[in-house]
Amino acid sequence: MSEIQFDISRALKLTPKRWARRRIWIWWIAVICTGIFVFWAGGGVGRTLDAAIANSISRRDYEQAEGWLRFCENLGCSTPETLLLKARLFRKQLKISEVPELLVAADAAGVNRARIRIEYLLLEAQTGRIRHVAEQLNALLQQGGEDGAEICEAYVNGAMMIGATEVAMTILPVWKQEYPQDPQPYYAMARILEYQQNIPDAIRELETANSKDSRHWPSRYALARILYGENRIEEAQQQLEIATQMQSNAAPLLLKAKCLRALGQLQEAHSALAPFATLDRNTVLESFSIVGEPERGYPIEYELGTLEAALGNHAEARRLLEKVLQNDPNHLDARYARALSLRDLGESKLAETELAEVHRIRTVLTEIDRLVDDINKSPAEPHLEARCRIGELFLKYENARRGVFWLQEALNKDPSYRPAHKLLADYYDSLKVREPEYAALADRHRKAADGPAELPPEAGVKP
Amino acid sequence: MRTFAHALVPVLVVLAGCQEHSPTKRDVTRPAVKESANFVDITEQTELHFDYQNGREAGLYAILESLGGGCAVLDYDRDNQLDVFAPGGGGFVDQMLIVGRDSFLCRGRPGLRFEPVAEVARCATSKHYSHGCAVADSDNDGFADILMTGYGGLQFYHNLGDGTFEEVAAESQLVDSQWSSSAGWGDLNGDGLPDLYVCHYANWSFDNNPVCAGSGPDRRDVCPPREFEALNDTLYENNGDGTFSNSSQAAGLVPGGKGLGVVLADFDHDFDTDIYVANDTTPNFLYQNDGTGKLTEIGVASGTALDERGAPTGSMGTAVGDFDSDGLTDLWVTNFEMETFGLYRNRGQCQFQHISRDSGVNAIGSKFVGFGTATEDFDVDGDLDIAVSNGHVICYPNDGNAEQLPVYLENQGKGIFRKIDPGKDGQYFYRKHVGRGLATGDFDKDGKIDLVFTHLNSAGCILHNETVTTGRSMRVELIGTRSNRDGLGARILLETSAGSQIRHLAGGGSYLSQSESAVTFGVAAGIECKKVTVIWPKSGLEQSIPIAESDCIITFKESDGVRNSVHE
Repeated sequence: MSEIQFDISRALKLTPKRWARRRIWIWWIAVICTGIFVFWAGGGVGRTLDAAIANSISRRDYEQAEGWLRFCENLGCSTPETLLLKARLFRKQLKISEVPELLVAADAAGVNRARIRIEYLLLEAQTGRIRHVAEQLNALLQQGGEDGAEICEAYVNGAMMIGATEVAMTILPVWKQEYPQDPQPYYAMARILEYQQNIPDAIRELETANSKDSRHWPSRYALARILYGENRIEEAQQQLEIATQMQSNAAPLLLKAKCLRALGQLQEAHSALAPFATLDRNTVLESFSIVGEPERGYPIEYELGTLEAALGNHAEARRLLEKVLQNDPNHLDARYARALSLRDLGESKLAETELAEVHRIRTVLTEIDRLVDDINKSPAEPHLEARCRIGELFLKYENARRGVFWLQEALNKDPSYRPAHKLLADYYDSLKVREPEYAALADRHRKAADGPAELPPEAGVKP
Repeated sequence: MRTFAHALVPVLVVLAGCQEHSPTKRDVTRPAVKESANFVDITEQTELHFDYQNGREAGLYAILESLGGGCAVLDYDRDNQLDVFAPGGGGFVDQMLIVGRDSFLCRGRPGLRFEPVAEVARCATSKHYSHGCAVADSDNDGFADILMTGYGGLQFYHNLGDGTFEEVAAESQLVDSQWSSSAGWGDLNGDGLPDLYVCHYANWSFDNNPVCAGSGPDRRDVCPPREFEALNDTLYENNGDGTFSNSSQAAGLVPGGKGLGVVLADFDHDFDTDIYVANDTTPNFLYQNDGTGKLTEIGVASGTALDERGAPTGSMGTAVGDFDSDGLTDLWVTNFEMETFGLYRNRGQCQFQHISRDSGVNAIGSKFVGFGTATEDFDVDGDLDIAVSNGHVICYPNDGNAEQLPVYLENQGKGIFRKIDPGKDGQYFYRKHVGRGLATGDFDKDGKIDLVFTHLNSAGCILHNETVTTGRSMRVELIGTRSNRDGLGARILLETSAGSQIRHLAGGGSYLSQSESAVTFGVAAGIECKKVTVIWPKSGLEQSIPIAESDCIITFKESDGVRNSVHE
C-alpha cells in the first residue's frame, strides 16, 4: 500500500499572487452572504418559496406544494401569503376543518381581505354550499383575474358534491376554453361522465388531462382505476407504472396489487402489498387524498386481508379484517370476508351468525334499488323522502359517503328539508367524538333541522 | 383428492369401442405447439334450423319476454346421431292472451346434417309460451324424455321409442301452472329414478305488468325483477309409475328465489345428489342432500349464495366441474352486468370460496349479461374450459345494444382462466348476439365438444369444434341398470400419468338447456392413460377398466361388482 503524503507547510505558504486571488474570493463570498442576508431579511426567500408553493398548487402537484411548504416553515421564512397558500392547499386536499383557522391567521397577518374573502367563497363552494355563494362566484368569474381557474374548480367540485352535475356542466366548457393547458376541467368532466356511466367518454377526458400534464396524479389514478374497473388490466397497469412515481404512492400501488390479482397472480399481489401494511395509516390516506379519492378506512388492510384469505391464511386474514372493522363496523364486504375466514378457522357458529347478519343487511339495502326505481320513474319530481331514506340506509348500514351524497341531493332539491338536516346532524355528531372538526357541520345541520329552514351563508364555515 | 384405496375387481364392462372416432380425420396432423380452441359456425351447411321468438312486437315490455329459450342435445331415437330440441317461445294476442309457439326437433343425420322432425315426432305444438327443456330417461326405458318449461305450465314429452313423443304432463301429474324457467333431473332419494327440480321465476302477469322507465323511444323498458315477487320452486318426486308427486315441502325446499338455473350434482362428495339453484337478484340456493332426499338449504353458510362481497347476484346459468384439478366439484355461475361471473372453489365439506377475482375470471369485464354456459375440455388439454352465451335482458341498454359477444375462457391450468376469442375474425365468437341457451355435444364423435347456442328472436347456431390439438380424448357413456339409466349422479374418474381427472354426470346445468349425457375427457399430449373408474349413484358400485390409449369411446353398463367401502 502506498502512502499519500500531504505537505501542509507548502499549502500554507502563500505567495503575494495567491494571496491577492484569495482576497478576491473572500470579497465575493462577503458580497454573496450580504446579498443572501438582504434577500432573507427583506423576505425574498419567503416570497420565492411562496411562488414555488403557488406554482405547485396551480399545477395541482400537492405533494410538491407540501414539500415547499414544509421547507419554508422549517426555514422559518413563512410570510402572510404562505398562510393563505397553506389554507388554499388544505382546502384542495379536503382538509377543510383546518382552513378557517388559517384564513383567520392570514387575515391577522395582513393579507389582502379581498383575497381572503375569495378563499372563503371557494371554501363554501367546495364544501357543497354553492347555493349560498353562487352569485358572488359568478361575479368573480365575470371579473376574471388570476383566480379564475380556482373559482371554476371550487364551483365544479361543490356542484359535484351535491349531485348538481348540470351546474358543473355549464362551468366546465368555459373553464376548458379559458385555461386550455389545465388538466383539471378534463378530470372533473371525466368524474361526471363516470358518474353518468359514460365510461368511454370519461376515459377520453382523462387521457386528455394526462396529455396536458403527465403528473396530474388524480387523472392518472382515475384513468387506471376506471380501466381496472373495465377489466382492461394491462392498460391500467401501464397507467400505474407512471402513477406509482408519486412520492406517496400507496393508492396506485394498492391498485397495482388489485390488477395482479385480476390476472390470477396472487403471490405477486401479496408481495406488492405486504410492505404497505406496516406503513403509517396517515401516509396511506394522504396518498388517496393526493389522487383525489379520499379514504377514511383501512384500504390496504382490507385488500391484504382478502388476499390472505384467498391464499388460505385465514388467521392473518381475520386479524387484518378485524382491524378494518374496528374502524368501520359497517364495512359489509370486510364483514363478509371475515365471516368466511371465521368459518375456515373452525368458528362455525360465529361465522354463521355473521353471514346471516350480512345477509340481513344486504336484504335491507335492496330497498335502495326500489327507491332508485321510484326516483327514475319521475325524475322531474324531487323525491325528497326517497332520497332521504336512501341516504339514511347508506349511513346506517354501508357507505357513509354515499349516504351523505344522497342527503345532500335531497337538500339540493329543497335546502330546508329538515329530515335530511337531522340525519346529517346525527351523522356528524357521531363523527365529532373522534374528529372534532365535524362539530361545526353537526351544529349547522342541527340548527337547520331544529330551527329556521335555511341558514345564511355566513353561518357556515366562515368564522 | 379422494383416492380409491381398494383394488377393484374388473367387472363387466361393455367396451363399445376404443378406436379413432373422427370421420373426417381432421386431427391427423398434430402440431407440436398447442393451439387455442377454434369453433366454426356450421349452421348453414348442416341445415340445422331453430329459432326462438318472444313476442316483443306486441310492445308490452313484459319481463316474460326477457327469459328467452334454451335447447337440448340428445339422441332421442338412439341412432347414435345427436339431435337438437328447442322450444320456440311464444307471443301475445291482443295484449290479453299468451300463446305458445311451435318447438323444434332436428334429427341428426350422418355427415353432420339435420332434418326437422318435430311434426312427425309429435312434439312441435306447444300449449304454452315456452322457455327451457330438460332431458332424461325418466322411466328408464332407454329413450330420452323431454320436459319443457314455460309460462302457463309444463309440457312433458314421453318418448314412445318409435321416433315419436306423447305429451303427458297432465297424466304424469306434472301440473304446474306457475312460470317455470330451468329444470333439472337427478335421483335425489336414491331409488334409481330421476326426480325433477323445476325453477320458478316471478309473479308477472298481464295484471302485474308495471310500466318501468327505460331509455327507449317511448322511455319504457322491461322491468327489473325486483318489481315482482319470487315464485317458489318445485321438486317432483318420480313415483316410478309414470307419475310424479310434488315433494317440495317434504324435501325441505325453501320459499322464494326467482330461480333461473339449476344443476344437480354431488357437491359434498357423499354419493348423493345435491342441488344448486341460480337465483336472479336473490341469494342462490345450495341444497345439501342427506341421502334420503331430505334437503337442507346451506347456500349462505356454504359460501355459494352470494358474491365475494356477500351480495346476491343476478344469476342465470350454472355449471359444475373440477376446474383446479383438486378432485372436488367446483361451481360456475353466470351473472348480470356490473357483476362478475361466479367461480366458487370447493374446499371440501361443502365449503366454497368465491375466487372469480383471483382466477382471472374478473378480467373478462363486467359488461356481460351471462346466460347459458358449458364447462368442457374444449381444447383437449386435460382441464375444463368455459363457454358462456351473453345477451341483455332489456330492450335499450345503456350502450344501446342488447347484443353481446359470447365469452370463451381457456383454463390455463389449475383453474386460472384467460379470455380468448376462438376462431377467426368474423366468426361466431367475434359476433354479437342476444344469447340465451347453450348446450354441448360431440356431434361427429371426433372427441371434441361442439356447441349449440340459442338466441332471442333469431336463429340458433351450431359451432363445430375444429381445434387443432395434440391432445386426445376419451368419451365415456353410461347405462345404468340399478341406478337411473342415464347414470345421472355418477362419478367418473380418469387416472393418468399426470394425475386424475374427475367428472360428475350432473343433471340440469347451463340455462334452460340440456347437454348430451356423455362425459368426454381430454388428455394432453405425452400423458398416459391408466384407468377409468365409474362410481354409480344408487348402487355405489365402482367399475374400472385399465386403459392404455385414449381417443376412444367407452360404455359402462352398471353391473355386479365390488362395493367400495371407502366411499366416505
